[in-house]
Amino acid sequence: MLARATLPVEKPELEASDTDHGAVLIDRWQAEDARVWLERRLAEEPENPKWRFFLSQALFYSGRYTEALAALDALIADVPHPQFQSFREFIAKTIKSTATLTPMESEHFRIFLDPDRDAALVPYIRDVLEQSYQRLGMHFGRFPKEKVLVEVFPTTDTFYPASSLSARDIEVSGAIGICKFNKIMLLSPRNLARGYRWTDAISHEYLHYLIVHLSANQAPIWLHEGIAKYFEDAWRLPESAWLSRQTESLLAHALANNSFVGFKNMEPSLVKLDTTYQVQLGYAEAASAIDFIIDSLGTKGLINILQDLSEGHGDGATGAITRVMGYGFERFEKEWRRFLQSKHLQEHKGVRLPRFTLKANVNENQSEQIPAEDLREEIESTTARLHTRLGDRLRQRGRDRAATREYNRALDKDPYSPYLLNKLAGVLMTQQRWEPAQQYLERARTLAPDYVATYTNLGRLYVAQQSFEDARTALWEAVQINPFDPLIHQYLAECYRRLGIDDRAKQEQQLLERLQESR
Amino acid sequence: MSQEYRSLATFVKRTQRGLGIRRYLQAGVVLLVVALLVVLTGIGVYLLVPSVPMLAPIYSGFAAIVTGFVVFWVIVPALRRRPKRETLSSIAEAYPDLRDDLTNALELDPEQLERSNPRGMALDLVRALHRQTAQKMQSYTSREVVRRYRLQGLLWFGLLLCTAVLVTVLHPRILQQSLHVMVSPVSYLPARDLKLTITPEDATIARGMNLEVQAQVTDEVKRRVEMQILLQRPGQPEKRYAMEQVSPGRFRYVFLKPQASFSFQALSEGFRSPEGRVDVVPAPAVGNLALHYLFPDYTGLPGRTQSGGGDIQALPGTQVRLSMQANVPLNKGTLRFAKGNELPLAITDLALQGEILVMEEGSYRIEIEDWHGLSNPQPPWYTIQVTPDAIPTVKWLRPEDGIEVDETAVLDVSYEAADDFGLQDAVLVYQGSDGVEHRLPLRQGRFDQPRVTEQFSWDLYQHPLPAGDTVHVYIEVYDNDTISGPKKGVSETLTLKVRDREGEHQALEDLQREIADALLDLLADHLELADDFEAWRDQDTPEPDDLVRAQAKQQQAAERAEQLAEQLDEALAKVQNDPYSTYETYADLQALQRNMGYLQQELIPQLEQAMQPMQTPPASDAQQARADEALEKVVEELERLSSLAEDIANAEKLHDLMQLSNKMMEQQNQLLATLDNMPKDFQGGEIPPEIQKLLDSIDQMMQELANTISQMPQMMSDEFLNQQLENLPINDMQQKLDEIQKKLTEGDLEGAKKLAEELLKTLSTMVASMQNMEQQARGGPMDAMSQQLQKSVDTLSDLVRRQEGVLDETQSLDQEALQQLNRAQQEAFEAMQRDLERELGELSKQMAALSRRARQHPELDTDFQRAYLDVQQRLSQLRQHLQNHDMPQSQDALAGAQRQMDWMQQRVEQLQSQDQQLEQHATQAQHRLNALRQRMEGLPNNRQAMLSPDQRGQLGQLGQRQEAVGNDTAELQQAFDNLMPLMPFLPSETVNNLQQAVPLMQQAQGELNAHQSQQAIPPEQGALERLRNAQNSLQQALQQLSQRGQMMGQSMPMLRQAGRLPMPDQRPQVDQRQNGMAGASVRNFQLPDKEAYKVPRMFREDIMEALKEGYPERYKELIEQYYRNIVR
Repeated sequence: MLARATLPVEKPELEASDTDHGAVLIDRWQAEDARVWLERRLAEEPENPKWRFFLSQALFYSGRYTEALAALDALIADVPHPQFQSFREFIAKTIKSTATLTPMESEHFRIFLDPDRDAALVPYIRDVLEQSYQRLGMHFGRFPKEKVLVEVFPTTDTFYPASSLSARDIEVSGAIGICKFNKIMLLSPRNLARGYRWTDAISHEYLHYLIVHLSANQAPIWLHEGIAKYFEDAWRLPESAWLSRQTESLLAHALANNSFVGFKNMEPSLVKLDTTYQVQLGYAEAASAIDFIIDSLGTKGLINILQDLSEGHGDGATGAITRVMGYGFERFEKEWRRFLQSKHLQEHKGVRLPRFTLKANVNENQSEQIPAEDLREEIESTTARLHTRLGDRLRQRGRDRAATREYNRALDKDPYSPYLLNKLAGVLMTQQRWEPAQQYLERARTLAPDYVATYTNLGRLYVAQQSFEDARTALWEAVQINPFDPLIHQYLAECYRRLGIDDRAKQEQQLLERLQESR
Repeated sequence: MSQEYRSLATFVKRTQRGLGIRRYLQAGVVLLVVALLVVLTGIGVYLLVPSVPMLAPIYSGFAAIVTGFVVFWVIVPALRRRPKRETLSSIAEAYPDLRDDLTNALELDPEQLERSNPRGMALDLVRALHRQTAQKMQSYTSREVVRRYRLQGLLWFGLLLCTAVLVTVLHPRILQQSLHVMVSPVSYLPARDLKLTITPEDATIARGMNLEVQAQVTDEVKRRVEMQILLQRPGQPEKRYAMEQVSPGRFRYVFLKPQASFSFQALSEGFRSPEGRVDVVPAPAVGNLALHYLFPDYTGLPGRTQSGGGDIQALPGTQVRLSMQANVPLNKGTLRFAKGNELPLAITDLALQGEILVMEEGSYRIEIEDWHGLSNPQPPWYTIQVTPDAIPTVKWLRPEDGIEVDETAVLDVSYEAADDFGLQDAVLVYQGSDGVEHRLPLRQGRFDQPRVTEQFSWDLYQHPLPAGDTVHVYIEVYDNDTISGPKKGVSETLTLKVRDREGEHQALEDLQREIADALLDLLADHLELADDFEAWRDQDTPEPDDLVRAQAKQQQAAERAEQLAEQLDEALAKVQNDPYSTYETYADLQALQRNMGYLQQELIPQLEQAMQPMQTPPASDAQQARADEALEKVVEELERLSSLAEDIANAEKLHDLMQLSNKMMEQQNQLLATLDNMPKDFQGGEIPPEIQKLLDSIDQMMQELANTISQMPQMMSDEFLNQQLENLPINDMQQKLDEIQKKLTEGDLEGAKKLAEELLKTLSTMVASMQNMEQQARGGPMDAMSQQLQKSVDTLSDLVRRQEGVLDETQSLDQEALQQLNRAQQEAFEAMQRDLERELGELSKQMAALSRRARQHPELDTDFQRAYLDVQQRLSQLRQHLQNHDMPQSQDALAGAQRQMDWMQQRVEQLQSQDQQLEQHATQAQHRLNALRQRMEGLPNNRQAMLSPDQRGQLGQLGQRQEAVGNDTAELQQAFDNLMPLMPFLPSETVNNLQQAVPLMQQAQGELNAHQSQQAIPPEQGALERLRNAQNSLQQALQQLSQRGQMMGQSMPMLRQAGRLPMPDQRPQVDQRQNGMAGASVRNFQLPDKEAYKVPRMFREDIMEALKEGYPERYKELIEQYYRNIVR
């Protein structure tokens, strides 16, 4: 996601200068250029508090937090303005939040993460980012020369202060990443019980980075989120899979009830919408608008809109749309709706909005005080929950055949629960009834493509059936969602061994051992 | 030097040494003989010296001469060295065959010869001599040579020694005196000037006493010494008395009880001693002895005076005051005790006073001394006897020995104690098998009476006994003796067997878990059977073996269900007496039992019945569907039962957890209080034992808690989650506890307190979370569904009411139709009555003719005639009924007559010999009967036909209403179907009754729509009965549910004790047919409202006022929790 506010403090009301080019550069996230420009001005006016403040901002935007803090401290010593103090506190918090992060470099990224707690991300994050860089670069014709700063926060306690997001933003909006202050910030998937598709999320945030730079930070939120949503899986898929069952259902429902969020209501940020439904519908709307633009003008048209925005005509996206599409924004909206209607979208049964339940207060001192996530929440029907409980107990007593029937009875009551489908598949696999198990898992995959257990179970199933290539594919999906499950790496290691890819097998084996040690 | 030479020389040296020793011994013997002789002679001299003093110096000189002679002539020569030659001679004398060989051999030293003439012939000869002599010498010994010289004078020495020993034994000092004469003879010579001294020179004695005077002279010569009395009474002549010699130079004289004072002097050979003087005075004495006893305060006894003797007899601690009078002025008075100690007496003129504190037995006497220093002669010993204070006695009244006590009960203790003076402090002492003695004060302080019967309630919850152990208990009671200390009386030791309630509770929980597991297995069996059913459906004909197996398995399942029912009974019985189980568990178990009974009695037999046709395949689709349905019902019920059983087991575990957490809270509060009371200057080091004990206790409970939590059943997670399902911060608390210990060791009291407060906070959060968990477990889905349930209950009541309405109106319409029918029948009947009576008469005649004719046939036995009579009787009844216009009865009587007639005709036709006339009679009788029946049937009998169009319309409306009731009932049944799995507490009969009611209502609806009021009534009644049954069972369940909610987690024994438990046997007998009203005594009364249960306003205000003063921060959570609980 992207947050429009660039800093948690307002700009100080200082005396106007002949030009605010420094501030403009900072706004456009051209931090290095801003720094050079400001240093030049400071050579002329070394005591000017405005230039000194902007310089500290430019340093902060370059990821040079300590220098930014030192510059600001010196400024506060001379000019103890409360707004400087506020910014100083923010930098100090950021430094504290990033204290445990260790840098690792890739060709185009400077990645900071906690190598102990987020060891499971280390083998994959570079590849995901570089792949995004290449694929999205090809789509948008933009390959940033400076290394992009990426910070992966191990806990919410470090993520909140640095990202200026709240727990509510995460749990309601699913805002587990943010592109802000010229950098990408991501909450480690370890903080969510089942993780989340962090690879798409990081690619999504990189898209925001690209859009800021392509549009000189002039793109409205709907355009930002639409593009990011539309292209977030482009790093791994040839065609965008933005129109999932969930998105389709949301749009179909909105179309039928004329209950769209509206592009204007998406400002200043999607995460500020009231409910998860609205947030998800907002994303769906925005992505469908991008689909409409691409359908009308191709990716080139989209790039032209961004280009137009960067030229700073002053009339924002409305003007850009008008100039590029050849008609006004009102018509754009009408055409877009017509476009949606032409797709004959359907509401699918069993579609659930994603849940982003956080582990509470996962910090250094209270690492054990985690409230239990009630697994029963996974099943909507109370009766189904009772059947599931009976099924579990039967399994514990070794009565797998009877347990299968109970899970089936539960599934009768709640046929769209991926949790139940996985349970049923699990007990069938225990009885080596692979075929029905696979059917249930495939159904679970269709219903909830980001439900990690489905992929782990599929991996297990394929390994048992010695279909190692299929297993690898399924397990790679699991890695993209929750790479902290040791079982995934155990199966992956086995797959790589059997496929003769020894170096990857070794890598997975090492990761497995490390994860097992840390449990 | 050759070997031979060396051996010869050695032999000679050895012999020489032996001979030397022998000579020393000889000299010694001589010396001793002479010395003994001289000393013994000295004895005679000593005896003669007093007579012949000069003998002493003569003897002394003689002894010196003799001693000198012996030394000079015997000792000195013996000490001289003996020449070698003498030795050689002695050897030669002893061994004459040696001749001079030995002397020669020793003279010829081969070494010297070798040096002087190394090559001379003599050397060989000498060597030969040596060899030869040495060979001889081999058989000789030095000892033999020495022995030849025997010691002289040994006999004399022996004799003298014996004499000396004998004399010494008889007169031990005589030898010493003999030596004294020898060494200092001068002292035995007479002195030239004799000096006499007397002792004492001046003396004062009591009258009646003897006085010994001694005189000492300057030498030890034997002489006469006399005692002269100088001054006596005037005119009395001086008297002299010989003094007795005590030892040389020492004499004595004893004045026997002189009565008056006098002077005296010792005399000898004209010499005189200085004058001595004796004053004779009266002997001091005491009289008028009186003893005043002051007994110890604790006895409460009054003082007592005793005169006429000094013997004392009193309790320990008694003060005895002595008073007495002396005959002369006294210098000193003392009470002297036999043990050696003494007490002074106070003297005032001639009066004496003293005091004795009686503590032990003994004796004393009174010693006095007058101004002359004279004491009372031989004062008498008085005895002190201690009368012991009796040991208190204590006797058990309750409980009885050997009883079994409940570990949480309040045990009534009663005992009787007695003492001679008073009682105080009673203690109950008990000891388990661990040997640790526990003391429980029954009373502290004094009892009012010296004999008491006391009672005490021993709360075993507060003062617990080791569960499952045998405990020895006794009572100690003390008397009030402040003198020798309270004495302890001990009762008999009782043996109490303590019930292990916790153990029993654990066993009960195990049983509950076992029941839950068994139910689950039963469910699994049936689910697998359902699987088999499915498999068989796919096959054309299932394998017979499979069917037999399924049948057998089903049989086993039924048996297992029976066992389960027994286990349930057992569990229920146990829960009723288990203080750790809650009422909720009891109620749930009851529900489980009820539903189990339904399963056993209704559902399983239905399933078995439905499975019967499957044994002979192929079963029809309908049969299979019936079996499927029956199996589904069993499975559903078992699911409900399994869920309920698991809920029960889980809730019990949670309750345990809750109890444990509460205990931990108590301990933690205690720890905080103890820390608060610790001295501020606590320096650390070793943790005080009371705190260590608390810490250990909390630690142990934490481990127990963790253990219990680990045993809690969890949802089975098949998925990896990035978090552990852990919401009880045990590890954190454990860590805090360790840190508290560490801080205390380091002396950081404030730090420890802070941590303890944090720990308390965490604990209270945990307890709150446990409470929630327990509530959820107890209420579970029931709480969530209660609204829906209540709605369903209301709907059911409404349905009952509506069905009653339908039935009432149907009955009313039917009654109207019946009346119309009756009226129509009446009219028609009156018209044909005469014809009927004539027909009856004819029939009777016909029957009589038949009877007569039948008598001609012996085969037609008496039964035939009896039948004839019966027909006649019925015809007579028919006539009677017809006269009464009672059509139904008339028809009954006619039907009975027809049955008999049929039988009679059958018998006639079966006759071996045909009788046409008889047959004709029978046929005619039959015809007449048929005609009668037809005439009667011609009467109007169709109620439906009697209904007016309006009434038909009303019946149609009733049909619609019945349909609506039926639909609503079906809907309600569906609602219950959905609720049942979620509320296993609910009785299955409810749904079953509803289910049965629906088809009955449909049937009734059909009849009503067809305007068949009479036919509609039975199904309407059946439906209503089932609705009422459903309502009753539901209300009963709801009542239990509501009762369950009010019990607040209390146990059955607690509720029984508080009188809150409704006893099943105290319920009034309720007649179901009268809607539960019969037998119940109904009074107007007002249910107490909510306000009635509130704490009185005054107290509430007090609490609010107290809260204004604030409270410690660390109790905030607890207080808030408390109020939350109240509100809840």
